[in-house]
Amino acid sequence: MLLRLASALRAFAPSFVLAVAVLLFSKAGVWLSLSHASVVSPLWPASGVAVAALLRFGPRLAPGVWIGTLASNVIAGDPWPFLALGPVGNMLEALAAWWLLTRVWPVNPSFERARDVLRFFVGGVALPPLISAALGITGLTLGGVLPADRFLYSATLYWVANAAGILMIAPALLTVVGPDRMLAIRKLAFLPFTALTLAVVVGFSHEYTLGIGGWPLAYLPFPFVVWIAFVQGVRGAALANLLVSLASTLATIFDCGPFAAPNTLHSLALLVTYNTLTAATALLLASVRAELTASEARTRNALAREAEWNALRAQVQPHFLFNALNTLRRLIQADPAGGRDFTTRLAAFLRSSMQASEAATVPLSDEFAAVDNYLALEQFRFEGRLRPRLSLAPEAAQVLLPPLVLQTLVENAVKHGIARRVDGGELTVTAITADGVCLVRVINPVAPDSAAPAETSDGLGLRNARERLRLACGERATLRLYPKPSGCTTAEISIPLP
Amino acid sequence: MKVLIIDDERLARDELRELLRMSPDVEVVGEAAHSEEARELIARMKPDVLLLDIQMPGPDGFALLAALPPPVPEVIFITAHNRHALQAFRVNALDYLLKPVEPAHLAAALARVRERLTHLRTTQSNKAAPPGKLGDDDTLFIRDGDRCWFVPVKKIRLAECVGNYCRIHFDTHHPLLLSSLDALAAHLDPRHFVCASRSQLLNLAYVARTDLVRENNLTATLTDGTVVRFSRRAARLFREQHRLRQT
Repeated sequence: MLLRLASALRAFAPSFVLAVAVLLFSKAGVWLSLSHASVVSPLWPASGVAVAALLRFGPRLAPGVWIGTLASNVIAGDPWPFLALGPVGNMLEALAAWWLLTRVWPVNPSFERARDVLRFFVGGVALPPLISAALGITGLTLGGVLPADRFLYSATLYWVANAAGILMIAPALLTVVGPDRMLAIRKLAFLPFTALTLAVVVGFSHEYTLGIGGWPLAYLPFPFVVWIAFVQGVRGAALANLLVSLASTLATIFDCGPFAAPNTLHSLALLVTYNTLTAATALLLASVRAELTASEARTRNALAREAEWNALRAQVQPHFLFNALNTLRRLIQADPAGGRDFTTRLAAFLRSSMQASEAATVPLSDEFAAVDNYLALEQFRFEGRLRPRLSLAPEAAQVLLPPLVLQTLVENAVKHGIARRVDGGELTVTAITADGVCLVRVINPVAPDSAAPAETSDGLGLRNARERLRLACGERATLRLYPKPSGCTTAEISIPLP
Repeated sequence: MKVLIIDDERLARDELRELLRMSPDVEVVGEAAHSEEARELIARMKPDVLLLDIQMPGPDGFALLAALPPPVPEVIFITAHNRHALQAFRVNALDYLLKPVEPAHLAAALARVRERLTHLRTTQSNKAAPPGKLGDDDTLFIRDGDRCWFVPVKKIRLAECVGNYCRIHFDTHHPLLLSSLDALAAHLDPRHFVCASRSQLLNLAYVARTDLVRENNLTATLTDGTVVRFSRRAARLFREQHRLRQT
């Protein structure tokens, strides 16, 4: 009983923590509205906390949003229709953001792609607060706090406040908070943030006039936001965004800065436009920059892999080639017809090896032809010791894979299996399709003194083949080795069918 | 000159046989496709020279040599590896030919072997070795881990018992030989190699000085500074043979 209670408590603990956070940030939101002569707050940071929490920890925390908001509303003495609808609205808002950003337009909450930022603007910032605004203002209207004829006006304010809260808080929380991120904050450069803070102070600290004598000082922080977005990445951009939005909102609430216009709606429109622009500039720039860096790194990796691959090919070939020439020298005298056949096959082998890097993928039927040719060459050397058995199912013939991956496996099978056994063995290469995947298997008997190829250059070749397979055929394409059937090694390529 | 060809590929063996036909003094006494076959043929045919492919199914060329009773025949390695890859094998005095074998290179390698064989047969010290014992210029093949050595008997300073095996000291190397000290001693000429104790066998050619401190308390200092202490029994034998007097 106690145990069950404890486990229930443990399961509920994250929701409880979130409820407390939502309560505190709701109080902050209420406090913001008190300073300004308005029923609804211009900024609702609790929404940002709720959306960030659900995006990071999942929808099971949703009750926390409801409890936190409800507690705050009860303390504020809100009317019962609002108590019934407002907290539910905020919970549904966070759930909607979670659903849109994980199921409909999935984003990676590190915001390191421009696509993620744009999706967040739509699915996280713009759409979800529509729900909470509709429900919340309905509650307030039913409770008699707001006149019914001001419904649309009030709902707009409510929507803007929640959207602003999400836009300001969520990116900062999602990119900064986390076990691996706490350290990273210390790496933030001191200089650009100091400069940004100064610019914000200069831009917003003065009494309301439309700028100092009409100068658009509110835009002074922008160059620094751009600077930070470029040098500090998404994390810095999200923090800069938080800093600027918070300062501009607070300043406007306390009738400072260029946006504190006498007309509340006018003032809010200026503020929202400004904050949205700041967020868009900071996050988009930083994400595009991160995307570029990532793509450069990918290109560098691909080039390095290509170079490694070429080096491997160059290293494997001579031993094979000189053995082949030695065989040819013998055949010229002892079996001229065989020598002619051998020469043609050797030429075909060399041609396919040399042209291999020109194509990203080739049909399996081509690879089987190349392997057949290679095995015919090796049969001249190993004679009865090498007994190849190839079988390619017709439906697998057109499956695409990177060139020379199968060849690498077959070469390894000859080198580590057949060549090291006194009486050789059967080398089986099969390709079938089953359950939506194409399975290509290379099976050879193991050598009596077999060492795992992982430590050798062949291990490198295997790793490289695996990587090339993944790059060309996607994450779900695999290459694995296993010691089956008994006394044999099987190398198995699995490629998902389109 | 009796030659044995060891290669797992029939066509490669045929090719070598064909090339060897150009040397009239060469008699091919057999062909082996793997180490087992080779060991049996070496025991039966007693070839002077092995033409040996390093890579073979089962035990490789080095494992074959390490398993042969001494002395090891002359060896010419034949391989399709390039020079760089060969360095990975870490063998001293490696005489090798690359596939496809150039006739001129084979002829030169055979000439070197012929010269060494002639030298072995004519050298006084070697001729003087008692029957069944190794001469000074005979060679041991030692494989320790991934390193191999061809060691002329006259280069061995000291052999020490290490469990069932023995450690050989020569030049700057100290490899472990996978045979017992007694088995090694059985092959060595007792006029040059003496037992200092049950666990140490030393080559008199490398003794810089001997010290007889008291009756039968004998030590020998080798040229490399190693001090070897004789057992009482070995010291008595040694004194009788060499008429040492107490100092």
